[in-house]
Amino acid sequence: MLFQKKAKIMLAVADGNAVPLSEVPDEAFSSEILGKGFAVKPTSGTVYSPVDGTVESITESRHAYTLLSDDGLDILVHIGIDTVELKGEGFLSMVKEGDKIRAGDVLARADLDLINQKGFETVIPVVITNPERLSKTDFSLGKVLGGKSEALRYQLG
Amino acid sequence: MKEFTYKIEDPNGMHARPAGMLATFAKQFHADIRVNAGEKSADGKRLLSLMSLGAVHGTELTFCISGDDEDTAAAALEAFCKEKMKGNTKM
Repeated sequence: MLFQKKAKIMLAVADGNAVPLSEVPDEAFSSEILGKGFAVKPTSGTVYSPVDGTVESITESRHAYTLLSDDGLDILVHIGIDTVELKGEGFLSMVKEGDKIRAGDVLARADLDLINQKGFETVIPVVITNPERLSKTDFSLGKVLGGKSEALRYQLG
Repeated sequence: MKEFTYKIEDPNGMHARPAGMLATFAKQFHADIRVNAGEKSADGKRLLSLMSLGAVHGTELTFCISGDDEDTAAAALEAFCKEKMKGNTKM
């Protein structure tokens, strides 16, 4: 059969609209130079983990979370574009480095209004930065619920 | 083994973009690339590992490169750091 290996799932990281990385207004993401993935244009500021795994690092400015999934994928969840410049303003971390997390657990709360007011995009790219491990990807884009909707079905190579 | 140091010029430190650009660039080499900052050590080919260094503006990174293409890799990485990691691009 085509599906010899079990397909795995990544959840949407926020309520909103899931879009391809190519729609992220930042070349580092849209050109897929950092890796493969999807992005969510959020309508609500609660950000969920897409996978079961471990929180590997949180930037000092609390806008970027790197996760190591239990199946060995390196995942970057980056809230907003250029938001490193907010130096933490508008971001509340709900996890710590080293925490074990389940898909759907809350990683952070972001104040989308404040981020917008400061002139930054709120789109949340989710990037698998070791995409060489993926053998098959199937994205489910469009309207999603954070921590509930399936955004990506994948298989490891 | 080849070694060089680079002091981070990006005012925002080793955040996602520079870490990602560096890891992506480093992946083209066979050599093992370690990036050390104080007590911490990262795999230069992994964005997550580089970000977990928590390196800020002014942190001195020591690159240790070993493998069959270490000469090429060290020279290319040193040039890459100087040219691409100044922080005029952010993320």
